[in-house]
Amino acid sequence: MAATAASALSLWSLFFAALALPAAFGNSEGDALYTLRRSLSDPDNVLQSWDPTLVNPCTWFHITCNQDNRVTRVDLGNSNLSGHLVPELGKLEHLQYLELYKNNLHGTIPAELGNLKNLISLDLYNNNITGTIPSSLGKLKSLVFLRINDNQLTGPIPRELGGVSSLKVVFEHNPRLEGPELLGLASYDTNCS
Amino acid sequence: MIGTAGGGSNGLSDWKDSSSSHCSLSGVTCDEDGEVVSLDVSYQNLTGSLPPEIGILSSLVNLAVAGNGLTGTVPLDMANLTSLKLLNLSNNGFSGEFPGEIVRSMTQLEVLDVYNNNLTGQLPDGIAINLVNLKHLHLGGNYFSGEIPESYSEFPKLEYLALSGNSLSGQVPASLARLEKLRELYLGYFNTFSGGIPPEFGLLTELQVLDMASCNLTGELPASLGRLSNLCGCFLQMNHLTGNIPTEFSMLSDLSMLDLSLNNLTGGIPESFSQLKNMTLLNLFVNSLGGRIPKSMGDMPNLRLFQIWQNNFTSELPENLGRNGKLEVVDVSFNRLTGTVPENLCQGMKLKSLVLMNNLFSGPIPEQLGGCESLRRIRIQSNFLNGTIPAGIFNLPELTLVDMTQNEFSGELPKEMSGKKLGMLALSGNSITGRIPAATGNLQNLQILSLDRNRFNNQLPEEIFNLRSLSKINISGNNIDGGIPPEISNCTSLISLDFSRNNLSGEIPRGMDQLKDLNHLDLSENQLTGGVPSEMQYMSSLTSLNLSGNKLSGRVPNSGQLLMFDESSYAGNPDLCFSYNGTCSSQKAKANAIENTGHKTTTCFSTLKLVIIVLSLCYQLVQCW
Repeated sequence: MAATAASALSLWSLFFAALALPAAFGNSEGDALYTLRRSLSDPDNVLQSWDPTLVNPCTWFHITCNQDNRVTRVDLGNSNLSGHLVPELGKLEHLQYLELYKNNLHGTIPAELGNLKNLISLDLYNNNITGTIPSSLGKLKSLVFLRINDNQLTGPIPRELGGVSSLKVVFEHNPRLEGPELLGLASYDTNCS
Repeated sequence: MIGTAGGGSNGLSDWKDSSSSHCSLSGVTCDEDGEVVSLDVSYQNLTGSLPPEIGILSSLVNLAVAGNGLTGTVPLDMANLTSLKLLNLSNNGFSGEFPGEIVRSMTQLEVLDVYNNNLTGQLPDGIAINLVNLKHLHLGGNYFSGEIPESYSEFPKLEYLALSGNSLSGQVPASLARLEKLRELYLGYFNTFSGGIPPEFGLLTELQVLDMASCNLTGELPASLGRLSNLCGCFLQMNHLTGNIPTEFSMLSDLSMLDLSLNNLTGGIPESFSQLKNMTLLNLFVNSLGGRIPKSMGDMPNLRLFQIWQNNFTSELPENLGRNGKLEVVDVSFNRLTGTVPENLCQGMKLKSLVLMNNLFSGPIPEQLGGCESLRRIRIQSNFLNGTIPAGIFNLPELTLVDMTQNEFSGELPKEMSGKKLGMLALSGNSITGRIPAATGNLQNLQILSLDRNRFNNQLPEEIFNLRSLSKINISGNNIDGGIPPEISNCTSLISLDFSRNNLSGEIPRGMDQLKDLNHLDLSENQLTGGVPSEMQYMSSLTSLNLSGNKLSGRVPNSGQLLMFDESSYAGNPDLCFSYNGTCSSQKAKANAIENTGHKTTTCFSTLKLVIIVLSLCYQLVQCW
């Protein structure tokens, strides 16, 4: 029915305004990260500060932005998170460090991560990630660290990763990651001093 | 019939008992002849579809099936329900079209609500002439397309009209201004109209809510809207409106909420806006507005939310801003405002968010803010603020974020800090002096500590490294001396550590490999001595290392993670040597390398021998005189 009380009105309209602000005004990076938040279970409330009504995600904890308010780091290692990654992460074009290690993530590595052309470090180690390594990761020409050990990954390490010159891959303890393509690609931690 | 609909929650458990009379079932009301006059099965977890048999209940006055999971089309047989006064199908999954035929004969209809379904096609037309009693029409939240029918201007009694959240196009008909009784009008969100706000809307004198946000409107704000003396909420944000805010808007004496943000408005805030005694929310952000904010706006008795960021406003903030005791949010960032921060922003202890960043504010932070217990966020970076930061700020119980970077703050930080919720403390780029208080270690939830580029002196307090959540610490560019406390290896959440450009002495502490998440380590441009601890090779999370410009010595371990870093990480340490290029002689390696066990006793012993030789030489010389 028609609501005339000012307080009911304010709640309704502010709610609508808060909802619509990220959608149409569109900080797409904040939207992408909020999509990640919605697909994660976060018992330690690590993502409490991830407020989608803010203009950009640059004051969210565990997020670092550059001077142009573009996200350069996502630091969520060791945060007791479960759930899965989302393809929207591929929209963070200025992302350099994606740190999601030592959680309880499942699901697969989205091929869209191959769009993160500025990525330097992709750390997914010690999770429960399944599926194969997308060959699109071979597009990541800036990638230095690809640490995906201690997951449930299978299949070959894509040949395309050989085209990334400075890459160091750490891949142990995945059930069926296959060998031959590793030659010349991975550097082995020998622990010899 | 509900058997056809299927499913159900406990609220309809008596429907399963086919022996009872239909009039005694939950949600059913009959008249004295046993005819069903009311059927309300809203929010009962029903699934399935509405069967055509619903048309049999021709005595129905109220039909409400809202908030279920009903799908399928709305049966045309519903047109038989000619006694209906209330029809509520909202919050379901009804699909297909909703043609005018369904409701055209419901001449008693007062409320028609199909909000939040999946209905498509054109808006139901040819209904206004018949539905002479209709007061409330909600067709929003569907996928209706096409234009708003001109005939919608002919509902004689309509008080509430919502068409928001559809795919409507075309111009907003000016003829809607003929809806004399209209109190609420919602046309925005996802619709993409052509043209602008009809000036005729100034005739809707009963209007309390006008919401045309985010629907592609162009053109200017009609001055005639100033005649809407009952208007309480005016939402026109996220459009492409141009031109000025008409001074006539100051006549909207009932206006409580005005949102014109995210448009292309120019000009200033009318001087007379202070007449808007009922204004609680004023959103003008992201426009091209400018000029000075009228001083009298500081006297607006009910202003709670004041958001005018990203415009071209100049001159000072009204001195009295906040004295109404109701201010909750102030965001004037990204303008060219000057002058001082008004003294009484937190008069009513309600201020939650103070955002002044990127302006030209000068003077101190008012002392009152040090006691503002409601504060959650302070973002005042990039201004010319000076003086000492009020001590109370570091104790505020609700404060989560403080960013005062790039100002001219001076003086010292307080010795007591108890802000339990403080997550980020950023004071970089100021002239703060004195020692970094040990009390920083009391900020239990601190994740980010940025004190770089100030004039801090004295030693680093080891208490900081008790902070379990601390992930980023930057104290570079200060005058910190003394050593790096060994407690640093307890601070296991650390991801980024920058102590560069200070006067730190002593050795790099042992145990840095306990910092399992450390990504970025910069200790460059200090006076650090000793060697690179061998356990640093096991710091597999390290992606960025800078030890350059120190007085480190010995052999850089040639394995593990340290293989990732080239000479630039170690430059400017003349006594450091590297195995791979033969700069280490074997003697020097033995003498100076830090082993896993024990200290550099050999070096001490060599130095002692040298001293003894020099002393004996001097003794001999004296004797020759």
